[in-house]
Amino acid sequence: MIREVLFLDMGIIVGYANHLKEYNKKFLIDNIDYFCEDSVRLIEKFKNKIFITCDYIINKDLPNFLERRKILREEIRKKLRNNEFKIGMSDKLYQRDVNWGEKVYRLKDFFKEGEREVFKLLLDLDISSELRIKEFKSTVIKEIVIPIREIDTELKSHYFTFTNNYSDSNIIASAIQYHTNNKNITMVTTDVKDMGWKLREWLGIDLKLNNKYKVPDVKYIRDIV
Amino acid sequence: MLYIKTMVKKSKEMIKSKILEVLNDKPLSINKISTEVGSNWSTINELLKILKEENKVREIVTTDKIRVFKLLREDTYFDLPIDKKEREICYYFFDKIRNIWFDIKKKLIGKIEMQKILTDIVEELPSIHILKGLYLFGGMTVLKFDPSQQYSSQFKPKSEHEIEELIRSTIIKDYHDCKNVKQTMMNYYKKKNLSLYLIKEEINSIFTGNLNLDKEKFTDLLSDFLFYSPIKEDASQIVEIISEFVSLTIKLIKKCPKLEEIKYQIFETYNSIWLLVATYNFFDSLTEDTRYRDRREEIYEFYFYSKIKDRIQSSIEYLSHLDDILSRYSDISSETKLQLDNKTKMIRDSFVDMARVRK
Repeated sequence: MIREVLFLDMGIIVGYANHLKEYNKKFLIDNIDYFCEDSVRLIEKFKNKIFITCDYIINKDLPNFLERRKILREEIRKKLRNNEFKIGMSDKLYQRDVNWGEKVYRLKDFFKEGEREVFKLLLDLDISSELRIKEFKSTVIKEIVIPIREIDTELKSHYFTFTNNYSDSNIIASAIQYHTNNKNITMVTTDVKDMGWKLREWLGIDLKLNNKYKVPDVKYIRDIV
Repeated sequence: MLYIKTMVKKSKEMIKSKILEVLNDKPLSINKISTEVGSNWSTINELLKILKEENKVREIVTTDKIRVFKLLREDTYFDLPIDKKEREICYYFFDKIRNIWFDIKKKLIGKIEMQKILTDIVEELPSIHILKGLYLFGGMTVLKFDPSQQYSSQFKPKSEHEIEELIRSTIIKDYHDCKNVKQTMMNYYKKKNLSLYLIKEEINSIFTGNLNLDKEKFTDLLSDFLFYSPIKEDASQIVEIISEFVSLTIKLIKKCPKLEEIKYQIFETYNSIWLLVATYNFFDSLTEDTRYRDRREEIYEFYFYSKIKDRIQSSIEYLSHLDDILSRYSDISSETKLQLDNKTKMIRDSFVDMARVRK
């Protein structure tokens, strides 16, 4: 059952931001998990529902994501200008950012004026994505819930021990806290299947937290679009 | 009494001269000046105050522990030092190029043209060593050229005839057909493969037309402008500013239906940023010279820091105004679209990997 209010995770917002209208077969990069089409279909299919997300995503994760992309773009630019430059110099980049940057760099071989054109494409993608994120925040998201300072430290630390991911544990804690107080959300994620089951199991390990909080329904995006 | 007063005054004038002499090579602290000149600290301090009022020196570092002064030079850019030998070499070339230019083109040479030709020529003469760099309009020497000034020189090259031939052939081959300064600059940029300067000229041209009609071209040029920006680590703050300008302007291009109405604000911002970029370029290209290579930090601190700092501040203010303009167009009703050919769309699809953010 999909409840009235859908709590969206970071992957959906970013997928929406990177949505490309014309979808073509990808021949350059293997094994991609992409959610652009899914994110747009989700918003369209459930347009009568209420979409929300948490303060942590809006004011921490998204700005961090955009900042990393800017840094990465600059490193790609430097490498396109001087192929001895190594992508990954900034310690703010994750390994997956560096891997992606290397792939983007190699795309230059497919263009006549390779370096300039790859950079042009990358810049356009970045700017279009930023605009799409702004659009998403103002037209799709109806409410931003659980201010960062109100996230239960114990709850998020508990989940951190299982996820080992600071962002994820804050977002999960935000969704659980909101659902406990409102009992009306379905959390939609681009993350792994069966996430709801895992969250319940982990919460059950701590009796005190288990009595205090309720885990919402969690749906993997591809199961519902 | 009058004799003693005259003696004291003369002595002060002599000390002032000596101060200017010791500052000729590089900026110095008051203590260092005092040691070099051989006068006490308070005399030097007092005379530096007078020299400041006479606009002959400037205080460039003022802290509790140290005060540093530099010589103000009217005839060099950024008050950079130039030794007598190099000055004579420049005078020689100013004179030769002016005469040969007039002989061929039958008109007087201007500042920009002179600097282009001179920097072009000395690159072909390895035995001639003058400091040069890339500034607002491309290559130029540290010494300013004043078209109204007569130049005579004591420099006597061994191969005077070859130099004259080189000047003549360069003007004829590369600049003879240039009808104006802009064409001279463009030829120079193409010859030296100065991509950033070529793009700068194209952007300037865009601003003379109707921005609403040239949106796609303008976007491409902005992308190129950022692409060809400096890549060294010490330029990172400047590149951030350029990146912010390009990003803001492209967003305005996508969202603002009447771009022509805000053209002036975009142009002012761009101009301010170009001034900043060019100043950094001049510093960077100058310090490629063997004489300055090991003194890069010192050259920056003494001659460029304050100008670059002011220009950064100015650019940030302009960007803030541009950001205010953009915020007025915050309502997006439909997805923005870039016209791409099929191959580019196919390549662009590969960028969807960005959706993976939490694995």
